[in-house]
Amino acid sequence: MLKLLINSLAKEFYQQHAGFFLVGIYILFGAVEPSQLIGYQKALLLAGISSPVGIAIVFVSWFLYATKVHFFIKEKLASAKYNFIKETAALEKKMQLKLWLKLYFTILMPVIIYVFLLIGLSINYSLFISAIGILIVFPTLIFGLSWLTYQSVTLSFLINEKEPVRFGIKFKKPFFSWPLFHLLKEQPLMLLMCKLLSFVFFKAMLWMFADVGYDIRILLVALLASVLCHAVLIFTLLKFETEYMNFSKSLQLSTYKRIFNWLLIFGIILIPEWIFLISAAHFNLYAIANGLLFSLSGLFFLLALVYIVRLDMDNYLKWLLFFFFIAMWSILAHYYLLFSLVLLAGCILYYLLMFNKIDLKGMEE
Amino acid sequence: MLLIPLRQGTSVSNKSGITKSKTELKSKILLCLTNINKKYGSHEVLNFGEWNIDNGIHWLKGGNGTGKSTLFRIISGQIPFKGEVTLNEINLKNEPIKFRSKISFAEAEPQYPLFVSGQELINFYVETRKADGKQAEELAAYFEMAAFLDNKIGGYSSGMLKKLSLICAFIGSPDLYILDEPLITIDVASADKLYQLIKEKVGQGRSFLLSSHQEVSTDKLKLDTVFQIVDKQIVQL
Repeated sequence: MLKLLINSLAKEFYQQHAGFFLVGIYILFGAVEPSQLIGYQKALLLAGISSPVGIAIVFVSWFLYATKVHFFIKEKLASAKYNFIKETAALEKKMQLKLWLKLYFTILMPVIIYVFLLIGLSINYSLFISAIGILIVFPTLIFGLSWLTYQSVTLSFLINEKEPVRFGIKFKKPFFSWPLFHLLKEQPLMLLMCKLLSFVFFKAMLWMFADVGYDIRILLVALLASVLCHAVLIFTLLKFETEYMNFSKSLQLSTYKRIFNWLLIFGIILIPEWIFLISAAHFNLYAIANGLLFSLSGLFFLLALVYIVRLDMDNYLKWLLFFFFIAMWSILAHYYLLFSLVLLAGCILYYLLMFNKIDLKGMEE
Repeated sequence: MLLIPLRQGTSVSNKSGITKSKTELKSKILLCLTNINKKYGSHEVLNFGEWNIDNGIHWLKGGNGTGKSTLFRIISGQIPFKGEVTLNEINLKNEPIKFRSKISFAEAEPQYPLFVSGQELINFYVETRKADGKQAEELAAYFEMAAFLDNKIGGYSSGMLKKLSLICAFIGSPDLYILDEPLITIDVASADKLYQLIKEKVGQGRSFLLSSHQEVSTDKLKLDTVFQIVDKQIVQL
């Protein structure tokens, strides 16, 4: 059973958060010269254990990661696709808790690596309070996650259904906005986490290159990190289209109109990033225009990519990595405007040529 | 019953066995499918030379997995295929928007976003098909769905969802209605209402392509032709 859970839940978790891990790896390992890597890592770790503020940041980050994991598992357990997991409810309580604990060890592996490093460093530098704190907080988190999942699988029938709160305000939902409402109403947590991560990575990139001074390329690298944080969101949007919007394919909607709708959706999704961009660009119109174009074409590329790989997450990730390197190179080599234009034009052309040749329902199978 | 496979270059025979020439048929042909080939991976579902239908009500019968829904999804422009589909000489591949404005397709198992209301979905159809909102209101009342239209689709029963899809299908005035399994999940009274509506539309010169596992009641609906998919080809029964 553990193997099945790891192959389904853990694998899907890592796949869905590939954008997040990609940017995280870049921040942790790609931001400095290879010769300075060990010193940089050590300095980061020491900053996390040598002061109450540092350790608070570490614990809050773990808590956020654990919350993300909890909601991810909760969402999966609620979907019909994962009904087979409910079979574990027939196991003894101890067995169930062990099973979930092992699964969470797999999902929390990136955190566990740092737990060991931080404990080792705390003992080495005689920061025993930090070591004790870590030894209390991390096991509490992982046991807490296992306990919550056990409760949700075994005792979910005891939870009373709540009446939905109605505010009496009705929004008109024009057709183009349905994917947005899907995110707001059916995937609010994913949307929130995506935006939080996007904000954190955008700011992290700006801080990382703060010593360089004002440079349009820094803004674009920050936007690239934000765009990559939307990888799962775009995947979810296309999944929604294949599952629920297939009916519209037999209606007289032109492909141009569909492209316009997607651009409008991406424009709305990117509003927070554009606000960060405008404030960080000190109202430099050229930088702002480049940023808008780059982020818009980036999201459209992600959409075209999910179409190309036919909702195959493994392939999607491979291409995402490729996109990251190409985009990074284009930015650093000052080809960002050309890159954005070619990317957007290429994706629009692909959509125009291919949309009518794609079986949306068939993509899911 | 006589099975007549319809291959490329062959004439189509009517029920009485009288063969008509192609030129005579061309003037009446509503829908024409030629050299159709459809595969899912390596599994070939359809492969035939030519299939034409005239104005009227046509029933495509057959069991599960014979390719009925695939054929309907080809005609409605939902899936890629090899070959040509024309409706009143409008080619689906060359003029997809114009073609789609002339057909209306109701899927066997309709799926719509769960958070939109029935009314919002209907409004979208009215807007897209440039239809009269009053027509949609009348259809909703006819299928006794008016009281539920403000509810979210996620709360609909399968029968209500099917009726909503039928209401949407009848919005506007297309030339050909393609109804995939229109009788499943709806009650007997609603089925009778559907038969009446089909007859009314046929009286206005519209045509229907229906599929159903269940026998269509011939005393309630006069069928012009009955087809079946046999070994990837469409045969007239």
